[in-house]
Amino acid sequence: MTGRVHFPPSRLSVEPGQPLQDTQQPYKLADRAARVLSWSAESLSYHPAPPHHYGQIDFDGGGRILMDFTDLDVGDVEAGTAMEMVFRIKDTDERRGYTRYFWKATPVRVTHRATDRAQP
Amino acid sequence: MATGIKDKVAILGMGCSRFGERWDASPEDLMLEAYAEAMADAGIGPAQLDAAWFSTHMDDVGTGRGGTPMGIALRLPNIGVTRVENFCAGGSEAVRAAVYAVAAGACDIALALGVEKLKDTGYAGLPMATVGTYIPQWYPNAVAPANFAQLASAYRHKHGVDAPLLKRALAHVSVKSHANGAKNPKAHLRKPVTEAQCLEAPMIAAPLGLFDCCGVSDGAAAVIVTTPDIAHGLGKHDLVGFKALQVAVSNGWELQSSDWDGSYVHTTRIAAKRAYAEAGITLPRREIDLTEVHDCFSITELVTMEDLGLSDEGAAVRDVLDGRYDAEGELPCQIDGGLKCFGHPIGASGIRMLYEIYLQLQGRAGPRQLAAPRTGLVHNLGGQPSQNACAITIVGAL
Repeated sequence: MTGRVHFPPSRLSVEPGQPLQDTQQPYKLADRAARVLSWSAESLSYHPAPPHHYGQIDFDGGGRILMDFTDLDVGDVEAGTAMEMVFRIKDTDERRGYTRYFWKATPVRVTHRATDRAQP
Repeated sequence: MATGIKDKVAILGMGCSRFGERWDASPEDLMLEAYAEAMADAGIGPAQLDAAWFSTHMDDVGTGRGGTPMGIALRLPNIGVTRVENFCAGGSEAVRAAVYAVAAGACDIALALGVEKLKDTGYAGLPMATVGTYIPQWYPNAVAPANFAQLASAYRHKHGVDAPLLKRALAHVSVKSHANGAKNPKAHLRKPVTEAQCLEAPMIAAPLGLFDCCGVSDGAAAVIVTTPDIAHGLGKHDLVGFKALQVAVSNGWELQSSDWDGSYVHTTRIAAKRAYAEAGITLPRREIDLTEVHDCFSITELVTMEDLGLSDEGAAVRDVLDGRYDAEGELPCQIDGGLKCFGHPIGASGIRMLYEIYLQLQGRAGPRQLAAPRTGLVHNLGGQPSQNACAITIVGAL
């Protein structure tokens, strides 16, 4: 075990020079605190609510995903901004006829946090 | 212990088509344009070629797969022709294969040629690439400008650079390349631009505006390589030879662990270190006279200056704004206009960069000729900052 969190999971770890095989165990990222490592918002690829906003998210304790951002305007996040995961429509697979979902990153909302604290 | 390729292989001839929106030319025509110039420069006939390597990225845009498109286009004498592809670094891969073949003694004379015909798609950017069925389930529908733009956000965070200051340095990168490209008759974009134009241009992928992005182009470039002895035997002198050729490819560490800070290109640093060692270069800032780097976007060029050790970490913004990499600067970069203005026909770009260094070292670069350069560096990057293939080639007077 290297202690590193990998996304997506893989049979070989990324340990530089000494990858370990078949040591990874399931590990949940969705509820962990996360921050923006890098981001951009672009106007080239199709997106229903342009610009298309995405970047690398680092999770506390390890784990990194290049993922879509949602519910934000350009300028709302910078490198280092605290983010949380929401489960949203990723795309619609027209050929196979179903809607695909995945996690997206959104800035941690102050109001949301206040609500959390208000819970007994 | 491997001895590397230093001084074992020389350039016998080179050619490069005019880059741009080449509605007038098919991929076959572009290949011929580059090949005919290279063969005339080398002073050899097709029967003297032992093998060829063919670089093209978008196989379904105009050329097709395998080695046959080049074998047929150039009517090569049934020699081995192998297609190579490594994203935007494919051109350097073709050169690497040809150089290795000569260095190994398997071939006396070998050809490497790259071509891409992108403007027939009717779309300004690159065509959609297939990435398999699994990755799209989580990966954003990401485009190259946004993948490279992310360098800017991480760089600013790491080095505490204000957004307007970085944007101005990026504008300087593009103003410089446009000024250089304007002097190059083979370049795609030949109009100078001002800093104000760059700063006010439409946003493509924050913080990169229109002028922070290179053009994608139609074009081809070719190089013929041989041993220094054979080149001398063919009456060549003032040879340009290979000092180093190193490729580094990502293994997932950047994107799949939490170690990389997102502000630089890991493989460039690795390939540079290996290339300097192979070439015997200890002081790159003094020993290298000019560079052609993979300026697909202005931010890529800026961080590459640090990754190659030509600027201190965090100091490239200042060095760029001081004009260090301008045509009249201490260490000119993209003297031919670079990807930014010469253009970026994917499979040809690595060889186009080599073409300019070759012309410069031989004193044949016309109005953009620098004063007696002796050593040049080519940096050719394929993929995106977080996962890529980086090729670094160093050539110099033999």
